[in-house]
Amino acid sequence: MKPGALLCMFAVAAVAAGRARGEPLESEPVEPSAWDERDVDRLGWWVPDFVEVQTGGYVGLVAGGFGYAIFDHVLELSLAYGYTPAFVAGRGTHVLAWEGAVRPFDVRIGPTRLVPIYAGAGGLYALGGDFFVNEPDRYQNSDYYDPTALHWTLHVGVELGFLPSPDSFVERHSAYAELRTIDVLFEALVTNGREIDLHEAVAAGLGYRLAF
Amino acid sequence: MRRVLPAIVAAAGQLGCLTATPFGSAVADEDRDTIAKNLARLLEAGPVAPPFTFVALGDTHSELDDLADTVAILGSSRGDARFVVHTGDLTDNGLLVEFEWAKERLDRLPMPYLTSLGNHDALSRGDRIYGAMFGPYDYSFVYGGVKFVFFDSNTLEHEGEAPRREWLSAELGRLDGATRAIAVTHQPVNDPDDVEGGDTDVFYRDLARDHDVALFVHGHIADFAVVPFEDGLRASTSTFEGGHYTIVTVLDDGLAFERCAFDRCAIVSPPYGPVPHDTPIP
Repeated sequence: MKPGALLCMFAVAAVAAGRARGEPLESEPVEPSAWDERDVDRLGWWVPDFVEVQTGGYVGLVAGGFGYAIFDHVLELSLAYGYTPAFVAGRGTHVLAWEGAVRPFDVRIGPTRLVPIYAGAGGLYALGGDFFVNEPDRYQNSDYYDPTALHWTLHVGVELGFLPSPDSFVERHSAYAELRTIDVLFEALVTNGREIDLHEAVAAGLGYRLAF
Repeated sequence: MRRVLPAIVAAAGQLGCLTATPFGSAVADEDRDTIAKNLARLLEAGPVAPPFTFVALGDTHSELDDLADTVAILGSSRGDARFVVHTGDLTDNGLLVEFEWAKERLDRLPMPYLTSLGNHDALSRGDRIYGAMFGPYDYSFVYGGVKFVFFDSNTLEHEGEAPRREWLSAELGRLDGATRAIAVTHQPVNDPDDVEGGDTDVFYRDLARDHDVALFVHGHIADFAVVPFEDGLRASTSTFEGGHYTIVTVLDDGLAFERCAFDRCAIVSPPYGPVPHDTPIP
């Protein structure tokens, strides 16, 4: 079979599949919406797909950030800034947190969208003079310590979203809950099977995402 | 509002879930001033005279299973020990939760314990946490005719502040009715971590030569040793991994040592070592 014929058959099959899913033909100018697709880049790919606020989860008493949905929102990347005031942390604490999360599937029932589980990894960067990435010059053995300002993280979460009408600027309102651990605590959990329980090595975070 | 908000946050914390940050340094009231509390317990028991025994261990870091096992063994079979000294490095990263984990295990000891600041304890906000949870970096007391002097030797972490040379010289020069001194610290006094061109090792040698220091107990290095140091002795407790600790018995006219790993102990006579910490105990 000629390559051109193969391509033609593939195109026909794709159109037929689109019709079967109720997707519009190219000739029908309908704006995509979150009701049809998990990730809609109406504002351009460079515009963040969501903003979020969170409390807990080692990121801060109050944290805010933004992120991108990639591969039809199977992958999510985000960056957040978190602050914990002195009356909680003993000293005002500023943190940058970045993470990637895989969201393999979701469940849609009417205007609600449930992501029953997502999981990911990321990092925390503690700002301020109490922490370092590179050891101060007075350390002649420059790799004696791991960076105290940088820590890797692991997390799992669940998200429950509400989809406004298809013509709304807002694609989705979501509440989410996460459990996060950081390197120091995870390693302690792994190496101290009897003395450290899971709940001692993770922190819960609660948040809200606004997707657009 | 200024009271309500912290109360709400504290309530959330009681649920054990919404930990805002791992980098905090707010020590709970019940966890504060551990050295003062334990010292009061020790001294309230009344005067003692040699012979008496204490346990030295250090560098427990995140070895919490081993620490819990060792604490259980000391509680059940070494009840003759009057107190335990921890030569520092209770943590790896100086995080609050690490201090809490270490303290929770050490609190299970039936005898009082006293601590020295380790270099890892001074990382992040660890020195601030240590100060609130345990107490001063430098302190002394007289027990059983011996003056015990605990001091901060982390010159790199506390550049220009550790060791406090004048304080240390004064404390060891004034025995307060004791007949000899035992100094407890983290860094090895024969070869401490130091800034480039530093002379801290020379200071320690002069200190040992000029004062009646029967023993320096320290941690930080992996090897175990009980060896001469100027006119006295130096005992390196070695790394803790594998439940290693040292039992020191203060005699009328000297000191006796046992090298232990969990429940196995062997008498060692100085000079002994340095030997790697995993050298089998007969």
